[in-house]
Amino acid sequence: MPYLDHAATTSVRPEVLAAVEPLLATLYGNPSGGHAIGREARRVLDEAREEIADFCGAPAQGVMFTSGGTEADNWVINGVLDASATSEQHRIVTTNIEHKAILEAAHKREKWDALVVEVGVDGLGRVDPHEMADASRGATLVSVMAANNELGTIQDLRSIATEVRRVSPGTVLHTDAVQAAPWLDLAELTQGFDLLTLSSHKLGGLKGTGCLVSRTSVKVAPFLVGGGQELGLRAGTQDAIGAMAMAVALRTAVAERDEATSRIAMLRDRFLAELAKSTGATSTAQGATVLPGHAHVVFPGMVAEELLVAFDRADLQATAGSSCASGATESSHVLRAIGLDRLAVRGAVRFTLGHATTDLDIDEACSIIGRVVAQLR
Amino acid sequence: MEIAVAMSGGVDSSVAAALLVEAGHTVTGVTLRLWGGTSDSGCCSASDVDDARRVAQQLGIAHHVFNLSEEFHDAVVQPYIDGHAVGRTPNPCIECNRSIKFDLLLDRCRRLGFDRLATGHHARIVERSSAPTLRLARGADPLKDQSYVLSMLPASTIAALSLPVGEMNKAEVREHAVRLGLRTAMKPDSQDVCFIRSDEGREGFLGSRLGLREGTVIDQETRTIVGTVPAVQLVTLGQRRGIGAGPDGERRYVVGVDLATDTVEVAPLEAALSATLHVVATSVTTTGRPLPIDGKVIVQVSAHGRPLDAMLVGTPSGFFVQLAKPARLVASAQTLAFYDPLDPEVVLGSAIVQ
Repeated sequence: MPYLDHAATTSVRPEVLAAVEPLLATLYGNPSGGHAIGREARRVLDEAREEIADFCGAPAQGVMFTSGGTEADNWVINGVLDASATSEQHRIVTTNIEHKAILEAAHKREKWDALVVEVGVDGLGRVDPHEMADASRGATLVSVMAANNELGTIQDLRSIATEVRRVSPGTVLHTDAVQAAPWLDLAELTQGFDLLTLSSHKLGGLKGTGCLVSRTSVKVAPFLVGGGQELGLRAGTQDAIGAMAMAVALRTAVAERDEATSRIAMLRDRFLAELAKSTGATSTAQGATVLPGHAHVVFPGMVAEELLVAFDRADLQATAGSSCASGATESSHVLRAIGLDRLAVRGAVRFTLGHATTDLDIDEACSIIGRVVAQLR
Repeated sequence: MEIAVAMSGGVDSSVAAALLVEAGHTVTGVTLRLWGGTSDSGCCSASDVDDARRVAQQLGIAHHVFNLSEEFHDAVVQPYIDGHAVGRTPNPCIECNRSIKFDLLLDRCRRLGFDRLATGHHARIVERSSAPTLRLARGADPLKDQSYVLSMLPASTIAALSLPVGEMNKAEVREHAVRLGLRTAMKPDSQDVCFIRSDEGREGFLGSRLGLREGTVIDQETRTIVGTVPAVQLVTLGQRRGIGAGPDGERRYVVGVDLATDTVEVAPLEAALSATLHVVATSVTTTGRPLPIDGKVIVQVSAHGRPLDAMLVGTPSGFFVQLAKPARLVASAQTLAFYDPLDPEVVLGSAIVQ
């Protein structure tokens, strides 16, 4: 039963499970409590904070836990704008392939005090650092995702940081590193950036935890108010076990990174080659630097919605990219942004491998896909 | 059998799925997302999809959502708008059944390897000895019968269909849903057109897309202006509502709508009756047997209209419908469903009024 939707979410790592299980019964204290039970939860929380900060090249107090990547992205947009004193309209510069959490949060501010500029990307999903910098002059915030969730395309964050800083030194730089985190060295990747977003479940942790990481002393205003438990910036009783699970997931991902990256990239390349041979599927981001687990393909002349149901019936899980609340497939803004034509978009499927993917998974997936495509043609 | 059930999130299709599961079939639920805009009824809103998904969970079957909103817009919504612009009033439910549910969806189900497509329509597939042996017939509940909106299906489609609730009346359907604890058990029946919100109505929906114009109401006999209507494109032949009475105190009926001059002609009931219905020759469908030209049929002119005795009178280009007794005028683009007078439950075919 090959699961190839690891970019949507991945299985909980065994190391996380082992660490979490014994604590579920015992670590129930409120980290803000002034007693032994509370202090113990606080210790677990702060250790997780330190460890995650370390992996990101951030000071310990830079990690602010959230309910996930979406909240962290929403927080960045609102928190950075609210903390930046200006009587003029804010300028938010981002790309047109960002996660909806950034795009919609940014556009929502347009109603009040912001102008949003979406810089376009090339046919493989890459933004030009110079174009980004040109648009960023005087911007309050620049947000560029480290790697795209649909295509897996990795941005040249280093050049983007250099170029933007050169023309607009006062601009706050943020990257959504949710997809990149399982595969890339976060401290190195986000050098020159102020803020990054992470999500635990994409790393093999638990759903319901993420964080906004601040590498610099940039000001971020509170988002959720009503108690200020999380560093005085986010109200709500903290989830120490969730935070700990995230730290363990990240630690494990980092420890396995070199081995996993080469193993998964090889599996992915074999997968793409076999698919091309047996079905004529074309790789969408071919030629770009792509995350090792991503295989975004177009099955020419086919309809993804049909393929996905047929795959599901054959016990293979994949996705067409983005889904709306009803669960229906929606046309992807990312595929539009890279200029994929309408027919190609209809036949676009995202397969994503993850830490748990095996050779056997890929063998089975190739055979199912070959069979299904032949049947539907 | 491997059966796909089109689940709208209503009680009928929920029970259709349940009956098939109980009969031992391998069942998969499919919900169509048809309308990208806002909607509060029919099979389009997120909460309806939610209901369908929950019922599928309760029944232990897989559930998928297909987004056919672009196709629905092109095949159903736009023709509905365009029709009104030229004085035609197509039935969107029939067009959806024709082009979406029993064309695109059925085709998809076939290719995915399903043996049958099931829906929650109140109609039946009955067996007869001569070919085609499987025939479309009225549902067992006369008040809920939906054979009219399926009357244009060809024999090949009827043979691929399963209509599990067609043998039940509505009360039985709800009882079954209650027995199984399905959350849709007491959900009200969907009314009206699924892509039109109840708070905007036809006026609101078409008004924002068409620009509705005021019309002058003229008495057919005296040729005098007797009033106005706020939206001439929404007036249909035979309509009585909103027209008022004549000087004699008798009700007036619409006998003509001219969108070139934005005028509506009205007359007493006798003038709004006709025994002849002309049909679009290319619109004629049959459920498998040739229609009895110069023979008797039973005709139904709306979803829950009274069955009328009629003849199909042959002409060089096809036929027209001669009703045994004059009836209220039927608007252009409405569908006529034909039933077999010798086997009055069974659908023979359909045609669209000129």
